Amino acid sequence: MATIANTHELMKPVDEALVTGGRTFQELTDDVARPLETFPTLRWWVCFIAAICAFFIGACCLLSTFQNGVGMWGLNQPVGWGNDVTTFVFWVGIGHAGTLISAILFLFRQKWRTGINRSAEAMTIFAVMTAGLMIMSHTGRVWLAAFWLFPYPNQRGLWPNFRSPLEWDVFAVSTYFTISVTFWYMGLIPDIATIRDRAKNKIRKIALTVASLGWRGSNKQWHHYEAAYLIFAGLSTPLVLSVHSVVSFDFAVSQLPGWHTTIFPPYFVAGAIFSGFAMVLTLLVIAREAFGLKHYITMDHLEKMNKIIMTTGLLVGYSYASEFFIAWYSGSVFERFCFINRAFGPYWWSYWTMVSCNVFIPQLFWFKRFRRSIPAMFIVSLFVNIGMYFERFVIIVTSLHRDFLPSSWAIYIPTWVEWGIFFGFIGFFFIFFLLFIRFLPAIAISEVRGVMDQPQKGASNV
Amino acid sequence: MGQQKPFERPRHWVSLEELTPEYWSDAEIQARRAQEFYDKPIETLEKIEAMDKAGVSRRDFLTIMGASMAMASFACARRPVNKIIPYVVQPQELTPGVPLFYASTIKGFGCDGYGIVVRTREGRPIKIEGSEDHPMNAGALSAQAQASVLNLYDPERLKAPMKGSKGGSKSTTDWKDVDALVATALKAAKHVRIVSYPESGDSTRRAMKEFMGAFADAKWIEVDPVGMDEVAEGQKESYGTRIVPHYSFDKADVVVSFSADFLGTWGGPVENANLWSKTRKLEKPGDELSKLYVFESNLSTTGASADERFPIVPGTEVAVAMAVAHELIVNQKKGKFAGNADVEAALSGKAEEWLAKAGGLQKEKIKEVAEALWAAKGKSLVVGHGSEALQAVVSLLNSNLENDGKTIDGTANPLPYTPSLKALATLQSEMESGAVDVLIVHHSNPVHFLPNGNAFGEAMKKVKTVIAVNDRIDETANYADVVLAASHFLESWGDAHPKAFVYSLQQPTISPIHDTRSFEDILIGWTRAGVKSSGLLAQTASNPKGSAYDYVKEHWKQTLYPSYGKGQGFNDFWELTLQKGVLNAKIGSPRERSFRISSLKAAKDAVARMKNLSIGESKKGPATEGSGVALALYSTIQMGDGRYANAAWLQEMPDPITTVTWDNFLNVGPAFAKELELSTNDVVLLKGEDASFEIPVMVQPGIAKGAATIAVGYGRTAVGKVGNNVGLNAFKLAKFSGDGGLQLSGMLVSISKTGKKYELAATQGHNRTEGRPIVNDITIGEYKKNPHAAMETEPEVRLKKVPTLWTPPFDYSKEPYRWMMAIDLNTCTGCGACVIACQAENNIPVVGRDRVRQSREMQWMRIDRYYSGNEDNPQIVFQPMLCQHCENAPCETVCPVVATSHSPDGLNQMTYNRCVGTRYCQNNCPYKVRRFNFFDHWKDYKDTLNMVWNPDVTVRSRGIMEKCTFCIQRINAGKDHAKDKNRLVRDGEIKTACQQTCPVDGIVFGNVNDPTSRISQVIKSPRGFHALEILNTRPSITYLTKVRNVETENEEASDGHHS
Repeated sequence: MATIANTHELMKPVDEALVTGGRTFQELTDDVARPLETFPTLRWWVCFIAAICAFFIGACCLLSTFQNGVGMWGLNQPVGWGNDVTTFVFWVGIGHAGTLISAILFLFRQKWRTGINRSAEAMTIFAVMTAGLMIMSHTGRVWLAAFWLFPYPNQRGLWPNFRSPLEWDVFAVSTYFTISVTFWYMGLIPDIATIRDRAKNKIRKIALTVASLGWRGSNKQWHHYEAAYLIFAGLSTPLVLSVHSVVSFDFAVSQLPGWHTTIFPPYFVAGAIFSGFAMVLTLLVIAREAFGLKHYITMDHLEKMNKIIMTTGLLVGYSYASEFFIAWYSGSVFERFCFINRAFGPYWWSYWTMVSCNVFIPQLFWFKRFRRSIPAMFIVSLFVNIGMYFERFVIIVTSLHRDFLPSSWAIYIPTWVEWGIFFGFIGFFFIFFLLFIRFLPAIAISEVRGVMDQPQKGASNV
Repeated sequence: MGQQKPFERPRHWVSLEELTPEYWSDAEIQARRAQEFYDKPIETLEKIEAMDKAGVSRRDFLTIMGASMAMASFACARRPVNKIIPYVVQPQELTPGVPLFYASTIKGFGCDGYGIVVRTREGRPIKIEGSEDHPMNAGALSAQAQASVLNLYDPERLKAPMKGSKGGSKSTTDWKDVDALVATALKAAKHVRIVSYPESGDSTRRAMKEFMGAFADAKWIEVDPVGMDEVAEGQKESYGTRIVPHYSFDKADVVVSFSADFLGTWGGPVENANLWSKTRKLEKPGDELSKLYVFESNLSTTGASADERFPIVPGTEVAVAMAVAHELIVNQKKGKFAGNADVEAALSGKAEEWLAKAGGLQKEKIKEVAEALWAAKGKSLVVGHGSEALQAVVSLLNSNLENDGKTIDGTANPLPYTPSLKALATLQSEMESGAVDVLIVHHSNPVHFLPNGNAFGEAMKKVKTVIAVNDRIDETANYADVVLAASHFLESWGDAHPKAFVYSLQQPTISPIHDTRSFEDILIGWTRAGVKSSGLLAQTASNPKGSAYDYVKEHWKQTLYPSYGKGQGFNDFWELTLQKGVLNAKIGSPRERSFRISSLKAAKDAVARMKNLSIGESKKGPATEGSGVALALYSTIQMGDGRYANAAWLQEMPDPITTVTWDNFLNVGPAFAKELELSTNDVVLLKGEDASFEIPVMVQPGIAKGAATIAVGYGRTAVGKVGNNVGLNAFKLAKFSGDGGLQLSGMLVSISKTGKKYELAATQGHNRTEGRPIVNDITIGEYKKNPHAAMETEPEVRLKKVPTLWTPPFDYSKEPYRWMMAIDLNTCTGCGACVIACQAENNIPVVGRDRVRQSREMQWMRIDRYYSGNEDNPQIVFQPMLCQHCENAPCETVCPVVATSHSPDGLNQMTYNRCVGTRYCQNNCPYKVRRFNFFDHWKDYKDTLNMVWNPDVTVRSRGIMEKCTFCIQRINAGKDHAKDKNRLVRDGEIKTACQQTCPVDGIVFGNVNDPTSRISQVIKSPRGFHALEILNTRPSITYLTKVRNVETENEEASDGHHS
């Protein structure tokens, strides 16, 4: 990583070191690899079993929905989307943080990203998987939707409807997934090789050998690796902005008051980054405790993430205010009613939860004390996630339940089946994430090495 | 039966069996012959399935081998293999896939005696329409009538006669058994009583008379708890004949109704609506509107259509009518009874007091009504419903206004009104004293509709033999010894003679599905079994093959053929009439009748009694003598008296005013509810004189203070799984006596809170338009000044000239067809016939009360009801809402799989088998007309019910979105038909289901690219607007603004412009 070392010197000295505690490369490798080589702790097992149970409940609920029909949920006329699409948008949004850290921060040469990017990108992938599963499950005939939403060759000249935002979603989410997986995997290869070389167990050695695709750490390989990394980062960057914009088009392109507004793409992207960072924070605060990675995921890393959370939180708050203003300014009886209904109608409690969690609570991060306090940031991150869930709920449900014709106004109450699915999907996500941190390095070893202060004499990638 | 030859051992034999005499017996030979020639393939298969596997014949073995080979290749099939069998001998005229239409007559279902055309497919009726040739309904039918086809296929119909003990269990038996039982009872009987619903068929009436002639003392009592007894009795008192007059609403410029819901449930509503609507069509500027004043206790669809409506306290109709009569005759001294001392004596009293009792009507209004009536004398109409006393005053007014003989025909066309509820009281006492030998109950249900029905049931136990003729063991048939399974009207021969100038024939459109018989066939059977009937009945019975068909045919030959069949052979006459269904006699001209002033005494007494009543107080204890809340019981369009409570379509039809499904409830006005601290869904304890129950409340605008109303027809306990225990039997609160008949209005009750709640399943929660451009109603004053007034009320929500990003995919002007629809809100009474017709035509499932509570009702068409103005006396606009088939359809662009698309003839199409159920289209539809199948509701159509499916329309499984298709199956059938004839479709050849059944002809549908079509003229009407036009969806449905016949919006009518 010769280039990085040079630019590192050219850059302004950073106040705090990115890796604290005077760690050496060897210690870095050991710290990151040790959790993978020892038997998982009781803590891990407890979490894993809990995730499996949650997923099991969700799977049963989902199965009952497939067996009996979407009627098992609380949806009705006019509310055709409720918890289902809220969950989808929630998970897709979360994914954007990972790609931002991996790609955009890379292009901006933010070295602090190296401590967190691997886990964040893993989180993205699992979040997108969860979202994809949800969007497929929400359809009335899943067994057909799985095929017909994709353009497959047929002799009838039958294509899906490319004018439909849901179809754009199909492309956006699948593109996002494929690129994220490829990028993440490619970045993992040197680290898998590191662990491979340390592996004692025969099966592990074989599996890791296959997974590392024959990485030997030669100069030429590193050269290719760097170039490819840059290209992928470039490819992934627009995805951060485009994928959630496309998801927001599900709403913006319709003509429902409360949905039909041009602020949605930037608003949703800001919200996505907001909730994504909050989720990364939640996960990493726990992971660094559990695996003793405090030297690599330092307080500075966390503080920087909190700053991003606050910025995007302010953007989201601005969007809320702007929506209200435009609704009033438009003079449209439908728009005005929609927003008054949001704040004071039957769902006022969801609206005010959203506002307090997303706008008021993150304001704590103005104060350094809270920015650098683990308990504070953990709690704030949880609240942000709750608030962002409610934001999607507010947008979807309050706009739908009272739209143009008062004769069709109704109330939507999610059923226990929907909540089961919601928690099941959280379980689904955590199953994969727990497996990830059990079997794969949670920190990008090779990249962190690149930003550590002194290279060790005689160090190699092993 | 020949003697059997003595058995001879055959010389050559193939099997040992042939050596036994039994092998050669007739019975055996018959059995083997039956096996040799299979004439019904289905029987073969049934036999195969039922047979003992050990004895597989060679033919069956091959069948099974072949089948199993076929089935082996079906190994991965998800659905069970169903066998379809083509006709071995195809019935004549029947081409599978092509419907056959039969003209017939409907009996019951609120449309008794109306002409219908039954659409049958593959030998079973699937839809009935009104017959255009019939002068009474002119092609229209009510909601109940549209649901009659569901009633035919009710899986809980009796499949065979049953016998058992009175009030106890009954077991299935066969006709031979019950015929023998009944014949024994009848032959020994002297005192026979028959109770039935009103019978409009002359041949049945004749058969009944001939049957009753066999007994020393036989009486036939026809009953209809929601019938016109009161009117007929009143007519008898006032004019001398017990008839129900023929009301010519089309000739009336001013109509005043005192609680007579003539557009909804009173006296032939389909005909009434049809006639009344003719005075409400503003087709060109310059057309006049009639004026309708309604004084009523319950908010009915008639009140909703009124130009001016006044809520009054139940039971005070006679006081209000007296006030009007007093004003007209005594104060203004107009009309031929002015100055008549007897009349003035009868009308003496203080009108202010009467009006105060009625709820505080203003004198000025009464004056206005009287003046309007007088200005339209001879061309006005006063109708009423509440008590016999009221009828006297109504008749006085009509006679005074010279309406009798002009808009009221009491002489030429009405037939004697035979039903009489009062006779039930006599019957009950006769039964209690054991004086009745045989009681025959033909379908009617006194145990349900009499307030003390259980006493009637107990009295029935004292009758020696009780025979019920019914399609189910209902509350009354429960007390029978024998229940004879009755055929449906669609399975029976008969005729009808509802008015003097109309005769129609009823023919079966399907042979009885179960082992049932029609009533006439039952009478013939009894005669055959030994009852000494006379006349034609005896004659028909003497022929061993004689049936109701022969009876009706012979009756017509004897009575009608001589007058109307001249110049034709009888068979030609018969076939032609059967084909057309109806025989129109010459309409006589009515005469004016002379009014009997003595009939006014009852009114004077009634008003005097009212003086002592203290209405409007709700007490915690039972209503004490003379004080309490005044109650009115009303029948609803969908339920009537509850006869058809097992028809799920009717239970799920939203009540036009309250939009509640599946239950009844107590309507209380907003001001009164506030006083009593009640809100909708609160359960209260309602105590009447003899009955009390807990009932949920509906806060209903338009009900006077101190008044409450409940619908009857609910609370059935023995009608079937669908209708049992739905709602409460409000008949228990009525008053019944031999003198007064069945009183449904004016009883005093008390209301007290219980603290419980019951969520009523209403389809529409929100009642106001919230200032949105959905509907509009203007006054006649505004309309006359500027016919486009409706369009210019809120300029900021009207689309004048709209830029559009999309160019339409088709240039519709170049296409041969462009389908559009127009709905006239001026004549729409909210009756809901279109909703049920659509449900019948398009295989729309029923979802049940809980799902309606969740807002998942499936009807493609709904009638949105909007209130405006003062909530104590609001104005109402009905707006039928269905898929608008928008040119710029928001739903089409957002479906990811192209399940919904636009056709070159302007329809928004729905491709069910492509839909994967993402529900985006439903979200994007601003009118919310799309319906999602949340569950497999079609599976509820079990057993015989699935015979009601229309084969031309896909039955949707779960996960699929559906919506109105403008009856595309009918459009395609029409286009095919025209293509066969090498031309385009002509206007009127294609009618959507909703259009066809609308009693007021309020829906116009057709091809706007055809300059001769009616629709192309109607959409140019200045009253035309589009719903939510500002969204630029460009709907294909034009609504015509409702114009109310008031000069300006005055203070009492509203508190501002349409809010």
